[in-house]
Amino acid sequence: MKRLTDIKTKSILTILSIEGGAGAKKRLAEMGLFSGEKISLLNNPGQGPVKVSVKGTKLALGQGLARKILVKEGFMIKNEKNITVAFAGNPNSGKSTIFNNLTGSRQNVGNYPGVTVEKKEGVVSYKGYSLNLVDLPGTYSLSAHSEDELVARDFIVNDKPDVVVHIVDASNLERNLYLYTQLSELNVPLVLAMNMSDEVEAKGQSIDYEELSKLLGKPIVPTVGNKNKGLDELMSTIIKLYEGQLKTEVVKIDYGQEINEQIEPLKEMLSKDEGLLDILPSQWLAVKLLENDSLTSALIEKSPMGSKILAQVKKGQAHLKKHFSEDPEILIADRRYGFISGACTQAMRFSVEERHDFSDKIDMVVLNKMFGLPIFAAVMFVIFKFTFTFSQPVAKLFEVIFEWLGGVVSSLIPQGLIQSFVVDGIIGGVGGVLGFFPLVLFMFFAIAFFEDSGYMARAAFVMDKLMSKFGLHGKSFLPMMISTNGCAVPGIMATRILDNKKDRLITMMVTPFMVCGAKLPIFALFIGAFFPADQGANIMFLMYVLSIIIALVSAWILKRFVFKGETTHFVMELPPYRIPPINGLLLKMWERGWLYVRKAGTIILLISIVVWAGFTFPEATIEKGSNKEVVASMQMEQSFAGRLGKVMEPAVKPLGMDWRGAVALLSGVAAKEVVVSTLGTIYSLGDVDVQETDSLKEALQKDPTMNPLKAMAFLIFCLIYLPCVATMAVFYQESRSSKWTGLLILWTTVMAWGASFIVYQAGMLLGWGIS
Amino acid sequence: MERILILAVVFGAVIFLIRHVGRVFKGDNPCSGCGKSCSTREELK
Repeated sequence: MKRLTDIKTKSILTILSIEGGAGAKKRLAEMGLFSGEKISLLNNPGQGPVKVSVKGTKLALGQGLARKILVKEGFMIKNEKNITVAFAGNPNSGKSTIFNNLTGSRQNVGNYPGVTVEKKEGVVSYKGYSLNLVDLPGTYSLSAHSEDELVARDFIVNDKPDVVVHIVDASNLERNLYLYTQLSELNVPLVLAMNMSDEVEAKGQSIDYEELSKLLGKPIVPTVGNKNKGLDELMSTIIKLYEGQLKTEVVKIDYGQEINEQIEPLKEMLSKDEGLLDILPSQWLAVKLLENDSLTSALIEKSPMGSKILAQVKKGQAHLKKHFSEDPEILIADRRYGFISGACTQAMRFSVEERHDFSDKIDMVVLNKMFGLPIFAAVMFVIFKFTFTFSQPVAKLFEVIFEWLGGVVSSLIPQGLIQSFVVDGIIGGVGGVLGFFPLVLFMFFAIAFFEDSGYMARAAFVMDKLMSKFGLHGKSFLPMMISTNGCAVPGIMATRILDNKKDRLITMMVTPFMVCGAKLPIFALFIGAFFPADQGANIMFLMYVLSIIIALVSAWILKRFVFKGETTHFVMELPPYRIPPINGLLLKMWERGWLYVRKAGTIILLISIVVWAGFTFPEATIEKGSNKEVVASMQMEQSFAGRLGKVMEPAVKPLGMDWRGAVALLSGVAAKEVVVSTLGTIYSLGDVDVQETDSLKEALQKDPTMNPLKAMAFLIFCLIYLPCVATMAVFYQESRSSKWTGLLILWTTVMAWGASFIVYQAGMLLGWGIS
Repeated sequence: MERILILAVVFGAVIFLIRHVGRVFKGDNPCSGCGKSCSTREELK
């Protein structure tokens, strides 16, 4: 292989490749000069223009441009296909050794990084193919930090070789796979050569290459470059990949909810510039932009959407920095290493060598086959214990404030419709929900702590084995966790991390079963009213375990009868552990908590008003002389809402509920907290002593028709029954199917009724329902 | 007067809620209290 400028005599040549940036390549391509094309050299005086003929047209090229054209004298063998193969990898991973052994060239090789500082090329013929091998300088990532790294990146990104061989030092797998995470997102045809595989065994480790290949979605060939081992198989694999005979996939790296939420809008904006996406995939561009990659930013600046995209990048970076008190590039690197760590944990076996990393040491315990699940259960219990124990005094204070407020307003506003509207409708309804604000804050804080510490990612890993028995895998557990951490809406959206459509639909179907933030006040109210104070965390934990059991059983049934098929391979990210910064935790807690307050002040307030009106109108005709309690009771029963409740009562009676429970459950479809606000309004309307208002908890305790068994049956129904309107809407948008949305509604209702019925009726049989 | 005032408020609440449900199903700001900012959700859409 020579440069066009090196040939001085008239000859027929074949272009092997063209060096330089996209601009030069584009100019030459426009003139008909590209890899594989046959040209005739007419005149090369050594100085001045080089004259060539291409497709019958004569061209004069400047020496500079002609130097960039690498040619081979003569024709290619007719059936010989020309494949450009780039060798990429970390410095000192053995690229040049493999390159030299394949091409027979004598490049400088050494056991230290940075031996290859510019790309070298060589041609090798193999089974009727002409492989133009390009040995690139070593690079740790595609965020080029030095000139030689820039050469490697430029070649992969701009020259688009037919196949990229990532030479990996298998004895230092985690460090070396960092480059893989970026090559994979770049969506280049990729083969991984696990070089120095003999050293892996010497270190007392073994790698399940088949498993690793499935996890990474790319073919893997173990090699020992200096002993010529595996090189033949590597060449065959390159050709098979080039010919499309090997199945590969782009494995999505999950950067976590916060970062993904910054990537998605960028991808959306980038997709509007088709010119950009012709060059690079949107995911790669979005991540590079968030990483503050100067070359990508310079590329985007040229786009017509450039200024908007870069403004969004700045916004996203600021958001991440505020949340994590860390630069986005560090966060992204953390997540990539998390992905690698997960893949290595799944595919590597250690026999003698001790893992010494701090995160690894913790993982040895928390991911242990025996202790992993009990530790996860203990973590969840600690979260509930912390929430109930520490929120109690503040929650009590809130309760007292709302009781006092009700009393004051009752004494200020004369008795009548307006007083009832404010006291029973607004204070009774919204106050009931706001009273649980401290509990929600404490819960969000505790969950944010485990989330940001890196433990929650391990939870998915721990759950994987259990979940696989039910037709799900650990990755499905992450959307379920997101649902527990706040709301099923982002939980359902997070199912996008699952590539397989069936896995995704099953996960979407079971995610609403989790104890979301909106269900929390319902549980806290009934647990506080009917169970001893020191048992609060235990009952809450029981509810949580129950939600997982119901989700798993549902998944098993759905997988077996509705969404049949194989579960796909995947990698679970294991980001390194870290102590979460307190300001990040407080910010997360406040953001989630503030939305709870905002929801109480808007949607729940409006629903409370409608529910109050439903119980107040039409005014009942009541016999004169009836006492106040009878009047209040008759009014509610004869109101619109009361009549609706009476119609529904037969359906909920076997579950130990009456018409009031039915109305509360129905209203809860709007938003789950509304169950509490509706009960607040009902009990406030029934409270005839306006000066001595009870808190909702006290009112429930005083209700002679209620008991712990009925409370438990009600809670189980609330845990499972159909999701709120927002969740149903997002389910519909994500599944794009009214059939599956209908199934979700039917499934959750049937499950809720069945489970609640079993608990109540079994409890009655055992004599627990006697109050 | 008292009754008219209250019925007007209730009517306004009903209209608002109907519109809200309509928006939710159109995918416009479906989340009302999920723990994530609504602007994020709109961007995601």
